Amino acid sequence: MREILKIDTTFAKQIEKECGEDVNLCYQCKKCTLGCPLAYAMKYKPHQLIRAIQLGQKDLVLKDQSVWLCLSCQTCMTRCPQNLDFVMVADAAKIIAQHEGHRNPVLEIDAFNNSFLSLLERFGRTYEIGLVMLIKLKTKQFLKDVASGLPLFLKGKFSLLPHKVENVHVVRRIFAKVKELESK
Amino acid sequence: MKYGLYPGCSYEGTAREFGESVDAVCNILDLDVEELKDWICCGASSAHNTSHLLATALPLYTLVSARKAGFKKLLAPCIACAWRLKTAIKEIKEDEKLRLKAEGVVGRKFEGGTEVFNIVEFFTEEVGLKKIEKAVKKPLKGLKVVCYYGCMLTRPPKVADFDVPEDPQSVDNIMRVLGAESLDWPYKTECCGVSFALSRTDVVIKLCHDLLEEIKKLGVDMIVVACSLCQTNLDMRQKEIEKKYNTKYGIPIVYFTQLMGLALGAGSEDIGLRRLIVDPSPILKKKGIL
Repeated sequence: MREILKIDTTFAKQIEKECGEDVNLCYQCKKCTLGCPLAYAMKYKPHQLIRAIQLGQKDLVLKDQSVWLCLSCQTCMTRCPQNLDFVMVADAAKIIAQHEGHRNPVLEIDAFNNSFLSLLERFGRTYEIGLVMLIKLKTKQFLKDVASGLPLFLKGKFSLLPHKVENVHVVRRIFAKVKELESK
Repeated sequence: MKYGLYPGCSYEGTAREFGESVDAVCNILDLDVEELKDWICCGASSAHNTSHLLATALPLYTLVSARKAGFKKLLAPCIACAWRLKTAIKEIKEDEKLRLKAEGVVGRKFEGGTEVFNIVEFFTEEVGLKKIEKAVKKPLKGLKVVCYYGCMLTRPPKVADFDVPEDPQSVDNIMRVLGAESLDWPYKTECCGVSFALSRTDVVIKLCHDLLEEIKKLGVDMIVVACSLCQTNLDMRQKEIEKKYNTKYGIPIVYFTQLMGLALGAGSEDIGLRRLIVDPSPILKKKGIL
């Protein structure tokens, strides 16, 4: 007798709970992947990631770089005949990965996000020079972007000091409350 | 009509000339635009990559501030900010649970009442092409451009609700009103690599190279953009791309508001022309515009 294949739908449901998108709408037309500017760099392309979620292959999605390479350019969701929002699904997968203790496998993107948010929490607004410096410290790529960034500096497009907003306590409160709620 | 301005973090930084030119054009057109005092960062890609609640709460704070300050209409020149603010409004309205949670985090109640406009939407739908056309003092005659929209100006359509996502025309129409020739081309809404600028720069170099190669074939004088990330990536990385691919472009990447400023009679200092890395002044002088 043939065994009936059972599919674990827990991950698909978890994604749906996080972002409201039902991955089972996808019938693999591949329009998302064909328009994706980052598909060339992804091991698993957008339509394959959706398939993996449908099939409950959680580790494949959360441990690989592919989902982190989504730039949120929204080409895929604009073209999807099923109105499935891949960007929301990718964000949900990134959020679940972080909650479940997976480190972002793309070191530079991890460094960018952490640096960006820590400066935002501190000053209430982005501090561009500070962001560049923090990323350098975290990735140890000290010479990267010096030649390209210098003209920006000379043209007065980088302010040396951060702009701290008066109501920065509000921003810190928002961060603290979100952390408190999400650690529960 | 009074408009609130949500400048966003790059307005006085890497997109300084964008800010300067928006201010200059609004002054010339006598538009009542006033900066919202206590705005905070929208959280950008790092927030929505990390926490849905954080990505909703940060814009919610600013939206409530705008409403308190009496701004029914809020202009967000940075395309990424406009996207985050519009997304927050949509999600808060549709998802009561999320609204209550975000309100709890911020400690403020969201009552709506503030509409957010991206910068192109603002000039085409609020100000209107007729008003712009009437104000033209120095038509951009003989200037051949392509307009590059990038990803977030018209996408996602359910949030942006603006122009045609696959073949937008709004910036082209502004250029035509100013007297320039705006060419059609297939990569209008391709992505430049946006927020990977400082993390996965290799991606930005590849995507911008694809764009510049396509543009080179068209023989235009400059690329017109409406997004500070498109501008920075294509302008700041152009030398690096030329070196990597052993080629030469030298194509200026100019904000549409800078060209509006020129046509409307602003001085080159007022619109921050000198801040662009690939200098557009030689070609502008050659065409008798500068």
